[in-house]
Amino acid sequence: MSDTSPAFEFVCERLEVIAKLSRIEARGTMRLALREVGKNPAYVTNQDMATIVMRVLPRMLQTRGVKDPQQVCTEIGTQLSQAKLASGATYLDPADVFARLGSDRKKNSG
Amino acid sequence: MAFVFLGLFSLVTFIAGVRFFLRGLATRGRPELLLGTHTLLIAVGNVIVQAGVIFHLEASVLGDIVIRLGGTLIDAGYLTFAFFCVEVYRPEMPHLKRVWIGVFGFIISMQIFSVLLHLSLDPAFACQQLLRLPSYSWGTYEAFRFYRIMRRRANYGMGDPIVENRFLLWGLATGLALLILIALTITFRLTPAHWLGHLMLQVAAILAVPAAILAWISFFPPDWYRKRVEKTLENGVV
Repeated sequence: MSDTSPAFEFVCERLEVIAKLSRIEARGTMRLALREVGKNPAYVTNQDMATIVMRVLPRMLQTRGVKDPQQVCTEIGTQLSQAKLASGATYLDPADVFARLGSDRKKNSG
Repeated sequence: MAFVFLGLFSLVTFIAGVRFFLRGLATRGRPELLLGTHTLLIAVGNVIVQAGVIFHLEASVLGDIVIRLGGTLIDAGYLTFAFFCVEVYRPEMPHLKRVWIGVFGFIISMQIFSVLLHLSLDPAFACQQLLRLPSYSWGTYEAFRFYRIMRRRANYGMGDPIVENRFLLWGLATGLALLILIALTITFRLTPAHWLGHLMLQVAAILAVPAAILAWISFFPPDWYRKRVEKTLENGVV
């Protein structure tokens, strides 16, 4: 089994093409973006990844000198939403577990 | 008074544990079952140990076995807490469970060894701390680690104020429970007749009150508290 989710692979591949990053740069940037919000590359879902691409990735790309990072992320986000990706390995985010333990409905944890 | 405070803490965590256990049975949620089992095993184990001490069973071999059985149930409770930490915080590292099972097996073997050889110096007592203290230390660390992650998520508009606050309260409650455990370990080793043992018993009792309140509010917050947290934390969210 791959140690990264289909959504992770998809976004890394798109980063190489659209943002002109090397493979190592693209994967490293995405790993840092995921770590920033406590997500695991092996289990990140398509929905989580879409949120991270739109909210976390622009700042990461900006610090790496990518031109127009917001536009790059919007394009990747659009392609991600249209892609038919496998769901990958299942994983319950600790925030979801703690929301459930307190009988809360999660609102927007990403 | 010390036993009243410690009793209050035990009662609160026991009720919370029963609620988690029943919810886990109803929803087949493993984290709920593990937390519930953790609390219930410790409660049952403590009842057996305390009964053994009250009825002076330590003197007989059978009594010694009963008390050690109670201690082993308590250790099994801490084992389920460690499993909770693995499943919730580190699902990508399931092999960590084998490490904890290894520690638990080591404790059981030391318990059997102590009974068979009628050891007055009890190595099992020291071995038990290899499971109890590290599991709560780890649980405290993970709760605070995830609290920081939730703070960062909030900066990106991905947060949930109630859950973020829950990690903080749970980290504080687990941290206080760890301090209580350390204090009571010193008391059990020295006995309450010793000045330090007596002091540690008082410290544990004082810490038990905020620990009980934090443990309860973290998972069963009253409406006024929930609204206050949402209002306070959402003001800072992008």
